[in-house]
Amino acid sequence: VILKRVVVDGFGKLVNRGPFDFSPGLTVIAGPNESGKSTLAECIIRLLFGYPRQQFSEELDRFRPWASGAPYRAHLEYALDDRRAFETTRDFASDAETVTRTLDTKERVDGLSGGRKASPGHNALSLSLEAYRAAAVIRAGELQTDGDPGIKALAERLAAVVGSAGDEGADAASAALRIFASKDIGSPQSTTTPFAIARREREAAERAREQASAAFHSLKLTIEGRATAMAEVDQLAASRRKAEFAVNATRLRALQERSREVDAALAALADAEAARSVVGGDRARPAGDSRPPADDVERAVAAREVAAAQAASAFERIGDRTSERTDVPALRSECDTAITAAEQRAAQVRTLMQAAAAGASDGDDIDRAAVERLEMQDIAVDAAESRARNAETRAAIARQLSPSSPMAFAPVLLIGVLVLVTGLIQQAPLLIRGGAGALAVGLVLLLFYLSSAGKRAERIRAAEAYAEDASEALDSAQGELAAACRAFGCDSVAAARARFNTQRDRAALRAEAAALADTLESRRAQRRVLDAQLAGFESLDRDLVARRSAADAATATLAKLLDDAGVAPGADLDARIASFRDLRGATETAARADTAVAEADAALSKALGSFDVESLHLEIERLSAVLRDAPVTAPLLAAAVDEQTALAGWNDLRRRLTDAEIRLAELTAVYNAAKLPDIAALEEHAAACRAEEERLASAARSALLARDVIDEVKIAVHKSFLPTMNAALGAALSAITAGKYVEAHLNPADFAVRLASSERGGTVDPWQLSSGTLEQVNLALRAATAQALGSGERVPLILDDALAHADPQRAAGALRLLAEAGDRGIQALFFTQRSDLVALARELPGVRTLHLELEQSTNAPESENAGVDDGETETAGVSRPAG
Amino acid sequence: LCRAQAQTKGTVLAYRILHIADVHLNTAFAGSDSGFGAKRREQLRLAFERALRLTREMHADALCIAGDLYDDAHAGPDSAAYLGRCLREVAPTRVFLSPGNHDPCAAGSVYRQMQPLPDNVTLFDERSFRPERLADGLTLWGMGQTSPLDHARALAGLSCRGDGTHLLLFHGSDEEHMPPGKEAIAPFNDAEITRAGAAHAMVGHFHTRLQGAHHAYPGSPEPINVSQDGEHTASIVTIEDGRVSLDFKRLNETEFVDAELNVEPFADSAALVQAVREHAASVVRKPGLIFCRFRLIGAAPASLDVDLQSLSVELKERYPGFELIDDYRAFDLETIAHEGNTVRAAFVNAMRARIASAADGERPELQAALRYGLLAFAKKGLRA
Repeated sequence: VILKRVVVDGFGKLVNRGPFDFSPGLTVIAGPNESGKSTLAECIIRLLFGYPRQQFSEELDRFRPWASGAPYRAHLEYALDDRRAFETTRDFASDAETVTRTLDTKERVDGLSGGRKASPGHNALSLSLEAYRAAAVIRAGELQTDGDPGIKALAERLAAVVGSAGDEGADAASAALRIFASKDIGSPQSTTTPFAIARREREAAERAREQASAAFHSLKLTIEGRATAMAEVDQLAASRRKAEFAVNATRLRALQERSREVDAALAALADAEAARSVVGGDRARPAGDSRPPADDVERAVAAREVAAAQAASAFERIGDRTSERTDVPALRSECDTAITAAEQRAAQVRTLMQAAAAGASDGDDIDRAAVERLEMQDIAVDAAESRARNAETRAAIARQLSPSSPMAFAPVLLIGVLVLVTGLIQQAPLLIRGGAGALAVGLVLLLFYLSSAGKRAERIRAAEAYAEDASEALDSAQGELAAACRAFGCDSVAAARARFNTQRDRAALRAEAAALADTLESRRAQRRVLDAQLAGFESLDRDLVARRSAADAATATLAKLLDDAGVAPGADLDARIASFRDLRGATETAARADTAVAEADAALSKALGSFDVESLHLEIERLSAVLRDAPVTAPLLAAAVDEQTALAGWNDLRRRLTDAEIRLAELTAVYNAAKLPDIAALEEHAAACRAEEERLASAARSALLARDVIDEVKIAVHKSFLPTMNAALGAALSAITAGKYVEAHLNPADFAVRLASSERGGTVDPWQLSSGTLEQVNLALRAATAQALGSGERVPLILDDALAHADPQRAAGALRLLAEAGDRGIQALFFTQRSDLVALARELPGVRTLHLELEQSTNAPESENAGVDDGETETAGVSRPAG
Repeated sequence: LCRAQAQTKGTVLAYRILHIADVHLNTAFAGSDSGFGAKRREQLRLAFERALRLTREMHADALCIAGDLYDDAHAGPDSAAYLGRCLREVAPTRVFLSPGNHDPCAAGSVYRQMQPLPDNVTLFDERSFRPERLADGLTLWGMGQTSPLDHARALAGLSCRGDGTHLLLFHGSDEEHMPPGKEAIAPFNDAEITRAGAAHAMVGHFHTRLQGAHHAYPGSPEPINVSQDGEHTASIVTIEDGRVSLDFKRLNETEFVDAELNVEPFADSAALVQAVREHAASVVRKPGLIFCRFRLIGAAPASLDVDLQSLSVELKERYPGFELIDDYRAFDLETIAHEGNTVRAAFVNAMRARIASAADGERPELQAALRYGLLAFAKKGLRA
C-alpha cells in the first residue's frame, strides 16, 4: 500500500486540514509540539483500520473534533502494489458511513465500505489495527539499538510483533503457561502447590466420607437387624398370645374333663360304700384270725388234684402194657438163639474164606465177561486151526493133480507141416489144404495146452497162499489168546476159567459173611430194645408207687389245712373242700367291697388332683372368663394340642420372645447411641474438593495444551517470516554498508540476527556494528516484518517522533536511511519536531516535507494549520478554507 | 373439620387431599460447599414443615406424599425420629406415604426405622398397588418402590376394583414428558391411568409442577438445583361427587434468579468488581433465599485483567448460592485470527479447529487452553 493523500475535515485538534500529499518514499511531516502530528498519524491509522472495537466509546470520543460543529470525518487516498487506487471517506461519528471508491472511476467498493469496523487497511494488508501499530508504527526510542541489549530488545520486539502483534512473543507466552501450570497450579508430584493442597484436601475429605459411609453402612446393618428383631418380637408376641389362649383353653378343657371324672368318682364312691354296707364290709372277718390263708388251702387242693392225677396216669400207663410184659421175655430168648446160630455160621464162613484165600493165585481179578471173552477167543483159535488144516490139504491136493500132456498138439503140428510142405511141393491143393488144416488144429491144441498149464500153476499158488494165510491167522489167534490169558496171570483158558470159579466162590463167602454180620447186628439191636422194654416195665412200677405216695401226702396236707381252716372233719375230702370254699366266698365279697370303696376314693383323689371340688369349679369359671375376654383367640390351635403341649409351646415362645426382646433392646441401644456425621455435608465437601482438584488439573492441562500448540505453530510462523526478512535485511545491509555485509540470518527461534561479512568472511554479531548501522538494520527489519506479517503488500511505516531523542548525527543517518528505503519502495511518514531533520530532509532527493503549524482557535484549546512546505522541490498540504 | 368429623355431624363435605412429593430431605447438593448444603437442607426441612402446616390449616382429610421424601443415602435415625414426630403431629389427618427411588422401602430404610408407624400414617411398602379406603365411594390405591432403580412400568396390570372414585399415589416418570437423556423410573402415561380405572394420579419424581389430564406432579417444595426454575407447589386435590379438581399452592421460598452484566464498559478490574458487587446486591435482596446465576457478558476491553475466581469466592460467601458465570469475550477471536501472520493468530486458528472437531466433553478444556494462551500472549494474569 502506498498512501497518497489525506484530507481531514475534523479529527481531534485537526479541523479542515489538507490535503496532505505523501511521497511514495519518505515524507517528513514537521511541526512543533501539540501541532497535531500524532493526531494526524492516528487519523491516517483510523482511516485505514477504523474502529474494530466500536463499543469503546471512550476511544471513539477521544478524537472527536475539538472545533464545535466540525464533522468528525477524514478522507484518504491510497494505491495498492497492483496499482489499483482507492479513496476512503470516513464519517467517524456515524457507524454506517465509511465509503470506499475506486480512485479513477469513483465506484463504490462495498467490501471496503460500511461502518466503523470497515477496514481497508486490513483488507489490503491482512493486518489488524494492533498488528499494524506494532509492526509499522515506530515511536520515540524504538529505533535506538545500542549494543547487545539493544539487539536483544530488537529481537524481543520482533518476537512480540510476530508472536502477538506486539503484545508478547511466543516463547514468553509459552514460558508463562509453563510456569503457570507447573508452579502456580503444580504437578501431582509436588507437595506445596495449590494442586497438591487440593489433592490432600480431597483425599482427606474422601477418607472422612468413606469413614462416615462405613459407619452409616454399619448402622444400616443394625437397623436391618433391629427391624428383623422387631418383626420377630411382634411375631413371637402374637404367637405367645395365641399360645396363651391355647394354654388356657386346653387347661379349661382338661379341668372340665377332670370335673367330669370327679363327678364320676364321687358317684362310684357312693356306690361302693352302699355295696359295702350290704355285705358287711369290714365286719366279716374278725381281728386276730390265725386260720391259714385261703390261697394255701386252694394251693393244697390243687396239689392234691395234681398228685392224684399223676398217680392215676402212672397206673394207666402200667395197665395198658400187660401183654407186652409176657411177650418181651420170649422174644428176647429167641433173639439170643438166633445170635448164637449166626455167630457159629460166621465162624465157618471165615474159615472157608481163609482157605479160599490161601489157594488163590496172584493177579488181577477176572470177571465173568473176561472169561467169556477168553472162551470166545479160544473158539476162534480152534476155527482158525481148522481153516489152516483145510487150506494145507487143498494145497496138497492141487499140487497132486497131474498136468495135461504136451504130446497131444506136437504130432498134429508135425503132420500138418509135413502135409503142407508136401502139398506145396507137390502143388497139391488138397494136401496144402489138408496140411494147413492140420497145422491149424495143431496150433489150437498148442494154445489149449499152454492155457491149461497156466491155470494149474495159478490154482496151486492160490491154494498155497490161502494155506499160508490161514496158518498165519492161526498163529495170530493163538498168540492173542495166550497174551489175553497172561494178562490175567493164566497160561490157558482153562486156568482162567478155574480162577474165575475160585473168585466167584470167595465172593459168595464174603456175601454170606456180610449177611451174617447184618443178622447179628439186627438181632443184637433187637435184644437191646427188648432189654429196654423190660427195664421200662420196672420203672413204671416204681413211678406208680411214688405217685401214689405223693397223692397220699397231698391228701394228708390238704386234710390238715382243712382242719386248720376249721372245716369239720369227715371222710369226704371233697365235701370238706366245698365247705371251705363257701366260707371263703363270703369273706372275699366283704373284702372286695372294702377295696371298691378304697379304689373309688383313690379315683376321686386322683381326679381332683391338687384341687378340691370347689376350687376346681372356681378355676373352671375363672378360665372360662379369661377365654371369653381374650383379645386373641386360637381355637384351631387349642383344638389341635393338649394342655401339656400347649404349655410347652407357650414356654418355648416365652423363652424365645425374651431372647428376641433382649436382642432388640441391644440393637436399639446401639441404634440410639449411633451419632452419625452429616454424610450429605461430607459428600458435598468431598465433591467440592474433587471439583477443585479437577478444576486445577484441568487448568494445568489446558495451560500445557496451549503451550504445546503455541510451540507447535510458532515454528511454522517464524519460518514463514525468514525469507522475506532475510532478503529485506540483506538488501538493506548491502546498501547501507556499501557491500560490506551482504547477508543476514535470522534465527527462527528467537529472531537473533547474524550477519555475513564480505570483508572478513564468516558472520559477526550485530552489536559489533555501529549504532547507526544497527538503527538502519532495525528499520529494515521493522519494514520487512510489517510486510511479512501481512499479505506481502508493502506496508507504509509511520515514525512518530521516532528520532526525537537521537543525537543529530544518528538522526541524520536514520533519515538518510529512510530516504534510501524510500528508493527501495518503502513508504515512510516521518513525523518530527526537529528543524535540523527538516532541513536535512530538504536536502535529500525524493523526500517530501510537510509542515503542521499551530493554529489559534476560539473553539478549541489548540489547533493546527497545515503549512506549505518551503522545500526546493515539493509542496506539502495546504490549509483549506473552513466549511 | 376433617371428613370423619363432618360425617358425624351429618354434614357432607368434599374430601380434600394435600399432595406433595420430592422433598428430598437430607439430599447432598452437588457443587456446593458443606455450609451452603446445610443451609439448603434446612430450607428443605422448612418447606416440608410449611406443607405440614398447610395441611393442618386447610383441614385436609389426607396428606399424600408421592415419594422421595428423603434421600436414603444420607438419612439416619435423626431423620426417622424427625419424620415420625412431624407426621404424628398432623393427626388426625391421615398420611399416606409412597416411597420413591430415592427413599425406597428397603430393609434399612428410614421408613423401617420409623416402625411402629404413627397410627395416622399408612406406608405403601410394596411394589404392587393396594387399596385404602378414604371415604365411602373413595379409594386410594398406592404402591411404593423397593429399590432405587425401578424401571418396570408403574401401572402394569393395575385395575381398580369396586365402585366409586379411585385415586392413585405413586412415584414414577410420565414418559410423555421425560427430559432428554434421563432414564425413566417406573414409567407410565396418562392413558394407563384411565385404563386402570382411576380418576386421578398423585405422582412424584419431576421436580417442577406438571399437570396431565389425569395426573399431576406438584414439584419439589423447594428447587433442588438451578435447572428447576419452574413452579414448586403442593397440589390440593378435592374430590366431590366423584369429581376431582386440583389447585396448586406455591411452597417454595427460595428462587433462582438470572442476572447479567456487560463487561464492555469496564477497562480495569476494580471498576468491574465494584459493578458486579453493586449489581449482585441489588439482585440478591434476600441472601440465602435467592440463588443468583450472575453472568458476565459482552466483550472485555483489552486492558481488563480481573481475578474472577477470587471475586466468585467472595460473592459466594456473601450470597449463598451465588454463581458467577464467566461468559464474556475476553478476546475478539475473529480479529485476532485475522490480525496477520502472527503466532497468536495461528494459535487461535489451531485451537478453533481443535475445538470444532472435539467432542462436547473435551471442548471446555480446549476453550480454557485457548483462553490461557491468549492471556499469556496478552501478558495478563493466568489464574486457574
